[in-house]
Amino acid sequence: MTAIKVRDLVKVFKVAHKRPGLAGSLRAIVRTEHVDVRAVDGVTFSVEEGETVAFIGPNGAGKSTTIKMLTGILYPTSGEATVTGMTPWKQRQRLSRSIGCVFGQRSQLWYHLPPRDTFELLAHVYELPVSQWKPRLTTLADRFELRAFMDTPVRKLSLGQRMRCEIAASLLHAPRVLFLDEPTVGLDVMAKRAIRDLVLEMNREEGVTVLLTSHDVGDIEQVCRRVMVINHGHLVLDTTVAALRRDFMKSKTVRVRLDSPVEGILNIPGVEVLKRKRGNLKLLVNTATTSMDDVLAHLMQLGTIEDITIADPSTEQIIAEIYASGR
Amino acid sequence: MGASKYIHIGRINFLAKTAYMGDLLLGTTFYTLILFVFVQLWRVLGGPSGLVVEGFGYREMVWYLTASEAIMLGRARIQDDISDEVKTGAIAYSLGRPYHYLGFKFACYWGETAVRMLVHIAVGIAIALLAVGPIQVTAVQLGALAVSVTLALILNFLIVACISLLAFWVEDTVPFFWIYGKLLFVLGGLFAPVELYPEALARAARASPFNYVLYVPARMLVRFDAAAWGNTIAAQLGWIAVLGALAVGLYSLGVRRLNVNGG
Repeated sequence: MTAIKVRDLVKVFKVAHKRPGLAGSLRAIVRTEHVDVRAVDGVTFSVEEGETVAFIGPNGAGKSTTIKMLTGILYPTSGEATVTGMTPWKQRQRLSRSIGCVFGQRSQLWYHLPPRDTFELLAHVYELPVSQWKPRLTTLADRFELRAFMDTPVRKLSLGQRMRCEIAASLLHAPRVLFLDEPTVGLDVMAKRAIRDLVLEMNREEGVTVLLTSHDVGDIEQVCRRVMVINHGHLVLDTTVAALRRDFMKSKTVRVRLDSPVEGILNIPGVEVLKRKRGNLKLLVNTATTSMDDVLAHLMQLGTIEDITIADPSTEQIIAEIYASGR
Repeated sequence: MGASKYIHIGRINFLAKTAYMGDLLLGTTFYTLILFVFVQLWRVLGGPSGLVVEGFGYREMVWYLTASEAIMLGRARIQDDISDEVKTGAIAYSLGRPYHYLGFKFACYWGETAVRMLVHIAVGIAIALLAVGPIQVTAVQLGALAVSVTLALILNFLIVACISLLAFWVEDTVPFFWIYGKLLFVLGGLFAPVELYPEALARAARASPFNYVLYVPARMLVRFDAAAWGNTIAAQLGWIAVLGALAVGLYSLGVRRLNVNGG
């Protein structure tokens, strides 16, 4: 069954435009000029129930605007969409009972109160019977490991603990679709992993459909099976995460600091040296031809590794690859 | 079940505001100072000479001010929240919840107002008792007064909501709130009952909704008129109906204009 269906969705923002200088300011008082910005430009896709889909793109690509239209927050300029069979901007109150939303930069927790109070409030807001929400809260508290800080004011929780509470709160009314807009933004590696594992677990155990936007390629690889790439409001790619990895994530950036300066020419097959300064190296590794094990083995021959970071390509690099491939 | 969620929203905001109890108690310093200054003023004007204007003597004036200032300072300041949420587009996030935004804000308003009013009423009664002694009121009159104060606070919420929702169309609502504050000072009869005003100004005040926010309940405390109570309440309800319709209308129009950046 289809959980989300979108056809030719368009959102045009009218943005005020002021000419530079004093003359421009005076002119703006008399007549405000507007520029049309097409944030989402004819997007079409569908998501089946139980799918985990990543929606990625650079800043301003239109991903969050699309999510806001699908959750009923924004009216589209044109186009159609249904989420669990409902038109979001027409049936937003009814729809809110079958979807859960987490906006990474917008908390739904009451800052000065413990999470337990927010959970109880949400249970009332969603008009859940006690027999339903109390056991549900117990399950979520166990699964998300919230018990230790259920009665601690939110302002005293770490960002990772807050985000676990946010996601648990959005799942309290057992939604069929979960929208996650940048859920791992600002989190450390461990907290990110915990969030990803939990989302995946909820998808597997409860069949919740997940639509996730993120800048972090790690979110996409670990949580989602399918990925849609949006740029300048257009959907430029809709494929599996495995295919994305195979076709467009063929490189990783390695930053390494060795205990001694690197002498001579560095010749590792499939590795391009982007920068070198004494013992510091920045390398671009073609993972399609060279394994990270080989790269590390070569580096260890050069000296002792004091520090190393391995980064996935950014969404901007992936999009550049997509365009370069002619797709 | 529908009203239950709003009661819980009010309750949770009541709890959240108790986190600032120290700030709130400190805030009553201003209230205490105002009452102290006016107690001195009315003592000079009405104390020794026994001056009574339109039935308001020294004692009545102090209790009137205690009541009007308690409402003025005890009402929750939701204007910044609503205006900011409209301006930044954060209001949009409330649309995806199974409640009405104005209902949510109304519940929050009452949660905070309850805390603030309780503190201000307690402080005000203590000061007025110390300054001029008790005033004659019956339990029935207090009940009637409670109804009027409740309606006055609802009316204030609706006026504030209407002004805040103007943020859908204008950049800054602060000047409008400044004007509203001054209108409450003058037409609302914050410092003195409208009986003391020149006739034309008193007529203008009585014709405005601001009079029903402060003057009407404050006067009811010091000069209760059982015969006029029904008409007064009906007039408050009338203004609530008009401003309620206006607030809902402004909200419905404004929400369609919402522009929230993608992020």
